[in-house]
Amino acid sequence: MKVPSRLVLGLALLFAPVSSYAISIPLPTTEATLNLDLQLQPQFVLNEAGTPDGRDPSYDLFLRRARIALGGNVGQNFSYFFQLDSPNFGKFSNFTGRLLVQDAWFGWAPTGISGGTVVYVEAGQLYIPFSRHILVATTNFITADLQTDGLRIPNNPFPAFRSVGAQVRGWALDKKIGFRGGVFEGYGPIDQAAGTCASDGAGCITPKRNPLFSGLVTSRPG
Amino acid sequence: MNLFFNKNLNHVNIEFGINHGFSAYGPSSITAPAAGYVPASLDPLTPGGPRRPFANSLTNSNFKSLVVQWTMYL
Repeated sequence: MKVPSRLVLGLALLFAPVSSYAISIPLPTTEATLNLDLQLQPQFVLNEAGTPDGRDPSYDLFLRRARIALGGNVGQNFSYFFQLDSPNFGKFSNFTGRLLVQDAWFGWAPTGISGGTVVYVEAGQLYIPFSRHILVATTNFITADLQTDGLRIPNNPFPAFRSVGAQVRGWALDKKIGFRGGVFEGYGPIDQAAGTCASDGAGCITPKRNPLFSGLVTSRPG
Repeated sequence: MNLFFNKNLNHVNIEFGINHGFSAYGPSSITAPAAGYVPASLDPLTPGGPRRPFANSLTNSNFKSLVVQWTMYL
């Protein structure tokens, strides 16, 4: 079967490679960088027996992620990142506004931001580092999306597994060892259903309002 | 199946799943708070009885799902 040349041309233009990882915005100084990133992930989901009466497949087309991010470095010791996201926009025909501050942090690397061993001290809205899987960039998943079926986080109030806190992050031994860990805001009574956290602490996930501690170490052989 | 047009910057995932209970995008993900309904995906317990709302149980029969996701990163 011969494929029409216009169709081939159209598909080629549709899937034309983007030119770079980020749009670099010129600044009046060479001491700082500013990069703009855009990410769109339209997603189509078909579920067997997913209609209200359960007799037919359900269809859903929505924007799994619609992100805009700004990030860069200042000198050789500071980095920053700010990202807005509108996750699941249009899912289940729900188009209400949901713009989230997904990431907002700055980091200080006293010995420099590049090299085989780097230590960052970061603060802001950060990933809670409890699993390497969630730290992977959303464009890099082997599967279409996060595999969250194995996670059991009560109410999961954390926006895309982030929380406000401070952490130490970096790598060592020529990047063979990676590490990150810190202290985060964690659960609050407002994250539970109304009335489930009593004034005497009964039923509260964090009756003492203790912060959340989390960390991990990764290794790269070879 | 993952079709890469420009590495991970422009690619399409086509994923087929079979789920019994809890799942990120199967019938389990269609909940009243999110979708406004819970699908009556489960067959009646007795012939002629009412269909039952989906529950996150591995004893359910399997439910097939298809996900197609196009990632564009610039």
